[in-house]
Amino acid sequence: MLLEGVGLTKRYGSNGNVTVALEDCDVGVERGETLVVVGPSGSGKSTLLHLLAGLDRPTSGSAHLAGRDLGAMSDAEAARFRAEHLGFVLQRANLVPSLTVRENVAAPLMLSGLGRRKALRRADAMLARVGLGPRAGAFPAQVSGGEAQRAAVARACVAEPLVVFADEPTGAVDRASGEVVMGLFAELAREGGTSAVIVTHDPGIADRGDTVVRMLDGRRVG
Amino acid sequence: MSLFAGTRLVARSLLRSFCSHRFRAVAAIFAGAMCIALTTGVRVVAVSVERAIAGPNLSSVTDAEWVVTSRSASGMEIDTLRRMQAAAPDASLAPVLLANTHLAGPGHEPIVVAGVSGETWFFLPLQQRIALMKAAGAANPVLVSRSWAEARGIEAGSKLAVETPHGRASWRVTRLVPGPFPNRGAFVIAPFSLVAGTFERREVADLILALGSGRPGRLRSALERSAGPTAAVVPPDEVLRSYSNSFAPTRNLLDIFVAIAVFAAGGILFFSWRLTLEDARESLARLRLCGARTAQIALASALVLGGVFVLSALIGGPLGILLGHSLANFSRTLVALTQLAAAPGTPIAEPLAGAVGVSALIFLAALAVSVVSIRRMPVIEAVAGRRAVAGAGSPRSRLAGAVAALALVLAVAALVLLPEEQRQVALLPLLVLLGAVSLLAPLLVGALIRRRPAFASLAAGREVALNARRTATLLAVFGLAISMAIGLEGAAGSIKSGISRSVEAWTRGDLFVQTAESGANLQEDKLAPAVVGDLGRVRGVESVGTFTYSTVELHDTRVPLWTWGPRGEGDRYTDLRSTEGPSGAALWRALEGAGTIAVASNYARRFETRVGDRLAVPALDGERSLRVVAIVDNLSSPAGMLLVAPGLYRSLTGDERHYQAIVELAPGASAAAVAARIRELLGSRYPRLTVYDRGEIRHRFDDVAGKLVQAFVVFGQIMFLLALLVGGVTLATSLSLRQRSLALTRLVGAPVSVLWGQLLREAVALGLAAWLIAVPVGVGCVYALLAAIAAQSGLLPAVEMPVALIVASLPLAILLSVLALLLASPRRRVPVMVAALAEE
Repeated sequence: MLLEGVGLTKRYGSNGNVTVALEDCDVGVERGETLVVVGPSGSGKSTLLHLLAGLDRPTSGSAHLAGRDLGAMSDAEAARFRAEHLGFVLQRANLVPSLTVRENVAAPLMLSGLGRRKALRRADAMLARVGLGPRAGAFPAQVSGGEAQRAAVARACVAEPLVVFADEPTGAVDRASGEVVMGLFAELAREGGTSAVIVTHDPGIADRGDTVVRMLDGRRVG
Repeated sequence: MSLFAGTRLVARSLLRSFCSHRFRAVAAIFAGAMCIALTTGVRVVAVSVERAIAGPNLSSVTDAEWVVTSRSASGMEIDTLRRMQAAAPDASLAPVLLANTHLAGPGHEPIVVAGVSGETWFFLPLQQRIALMKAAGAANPVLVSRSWAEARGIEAGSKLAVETPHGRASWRVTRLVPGPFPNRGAFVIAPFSLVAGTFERREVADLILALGSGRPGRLRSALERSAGPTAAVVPPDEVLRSYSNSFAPTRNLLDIFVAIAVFAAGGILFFSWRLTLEDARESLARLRLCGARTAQIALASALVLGGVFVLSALIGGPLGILLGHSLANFSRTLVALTQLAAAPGTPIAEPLAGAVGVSALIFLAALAVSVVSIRRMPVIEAVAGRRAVAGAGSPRSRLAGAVAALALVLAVAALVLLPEEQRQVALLPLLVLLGAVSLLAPLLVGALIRRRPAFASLAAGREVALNARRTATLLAVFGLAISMAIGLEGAAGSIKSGISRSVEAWTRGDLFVQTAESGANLQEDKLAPAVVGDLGRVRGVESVGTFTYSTVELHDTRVPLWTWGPRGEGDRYTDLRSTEGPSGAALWRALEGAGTIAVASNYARRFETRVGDRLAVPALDGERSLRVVAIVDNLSSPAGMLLVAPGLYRSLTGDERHYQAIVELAPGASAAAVAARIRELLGSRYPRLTVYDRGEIRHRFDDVAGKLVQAFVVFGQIMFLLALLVGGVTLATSLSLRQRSLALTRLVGAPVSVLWGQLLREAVALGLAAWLIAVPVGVGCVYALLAAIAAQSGLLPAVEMPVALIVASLPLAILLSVLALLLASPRRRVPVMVAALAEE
């Protein structure tokens, strides 16, 4: 199992005012597998994604990725792990606003220790694949929503990560752009043998998953 | 939305945004409070000095139409009065003697004593007072202001003890007079004969009051004709104008420093408040999407910023009063020099009103500029997060480049090509240069930082360049403060050094003997000529020289007239160098020639005097035309100085006494022992006798100008620290606004150390760039400010750069920028990645 979450629970607040965002949730993702998490708003989808990606610490339970306990890593270790082995695509405003599209895509490579020139060359190649070669020098504020999502996918996949985490990756773009984004996702993931965890409302995207996890009120219901 | 409801909604949104970004609110209030404090502080100093040098206005105690005033400090001979009476037989004339003295006792409070001849009632304007005087029935009444006397527990019949050249004199107060008196009530009216005897001034008058029955113009003509060149005829409220004018250079110097301090504080305030609304620009633009109109945004912004303004004034006002009070102590020294009564307490209302007024104007300007900027922002940009990105080739940067180049050429041309005293024209291009370079710098600095290979450098360089507006504003705030601090300290320090060097040139003796302490000695407190011989016989004394001075009225200004004796030995006790004409011994030989005079360089500059010109110098018995033989490089006296040989001095003033005896010690003699012997010898004749050594006298004379300029050195430093603090807090604000951006950087794998590296690079780059921009501008400002001061006051010392400040400002600027990072604490903020990311 590449990615495994066991008994993942997340509670906020204390004493009598406790909100349970996620309750005793088990999930597993094999290498190259796409896990799609679906459910209504507030069902705990994003919380599950954050815990699996090590962005947040569970109240109880654990998440292991490639045999490593994400919750036990130091800040620096976690950051390096993210740069080398994880990719992220959010609903929107994914890109660091002060970096160009090209620099955004090159960022994980540079942060993994690759020289700037080499990183930028690989970023250029990746951007050409997602059809953003001519927009490489633009800042996030200068590109459209669809272009920004394509750039985010390119960034998520450029370092050939073990897992790409995507939180509503098509939520802020139209259907056609969403199709393009997901197509890219699938293609890049397949080529690199990358696993994916995708949180979505979109039944069309759910159909593309190898495994579908259904969430309701913080619990896995299917 | 109705105007009112909409305004409330926008204001509430803005206020909540303020509350959620506490740093932004703190930065705005901090900048406001500190700038109001600084502006209030400098105004407290300025008003204190203004009050200290404002001469007493006689119009409150006389009905005289005209007052004839002596142009010589020794007064007019009583003959002048007879001539006037003959020229205007119908006029009532009364001679007046004026003496500046102190109340005897611990308070040592300065008072002006007016000796009045003829019928005393003539000196009083109101019928009630006449009745009062007649009722008193005193032949030689001593009158004082009722309010002044009551405040000091003095009653009619009390004894009034005053200092005189021979110790204390005690006069019985005849009456307390109601109503306003000159010199804030510290004004005693006494019989002419009493004052003349007490202060050894017989057969002369300082003023002659004139009241005619015909046309005032005719009386004035008759008085002017008969008075001749030794006197001027003026209305009563202008009697001491020439004394007041002698402080005009001090006042001008102060005005220039105040203007610079207020300008710099105002600039910092404008940029800080501008940034406050700039940070809210996008959310305000979003509100326009909901239908908020420009008027509502303007009103709401005014409401919120108005609150900031009020809070700033409440904090900054009292702080400024305290600051000004602690730095205005030299105004008390000025009071001692003028020997006029000081205004009680620290001025509060006037400085505070000025500072709040200036801040209100800046508040309105910042508001107007921000509202225009918000209006210009397309609503869709705010909502979609899309906007134009400034680049190196944008029209704005090209325009800034062109303006910077033009300003640089003009500033350099003004500083290099123009004569020293005209270089103030460089001030405007220098400030324009600072503004234009601040606009350009973000792109240049960003590109430079990006050249480094590390990711942190790339991110820092992009951040600096992309947020060009914020970076430029911060650079302008830092740059303005650093350059103005350098300018103020450079100009003030140069003047201070120039004055010190001037004082050193004429304090070469070992001991300096005076009848009383400098500043506390009276107008007529002088040593008798025989003292020189007595001192020569004191064991351990090698030689004795003399220094004395008086004042003469030239160009409607009281100018000091100096001399050193004995004849032919002036060079022994001075080392006066000339910028034009002979120096040292040759100067004194030239002054021994018939009808010759030297003038100080600041006098020459102020009144455009050259070697070979002739000056009409008023004398006791008329006017002498004297040829200028040298321009002496001396800045000791703000009003300038005239230098003559001792013989000519005596004939101009009729005074053979000495202000100071200068003692040269015999080899091996102890200064302290000789000083003790001198005190023993002369102590009984001069009860307040003072003997200074060389260090003490130099310190004493440096004191006033030194304290005046020192206050502005301190203001410069405070302004510098203020700008750094404001900049630091603003940096911290921007950091708190960048949480999501930083979280995204972390998301792609940047550890906190990389973020620190990025932020550190941004802070260091900002501090370094501001310093690099500010230092050349500040250095240019030193020359320009000195030229502006020279144009107003004639003071043009050798330039002395504040090297310590220039050097210290770089690490300080960087250090405070880094401290701002610590204040914003990215370690504490950034790790809450999930929350930051969820903000979308």
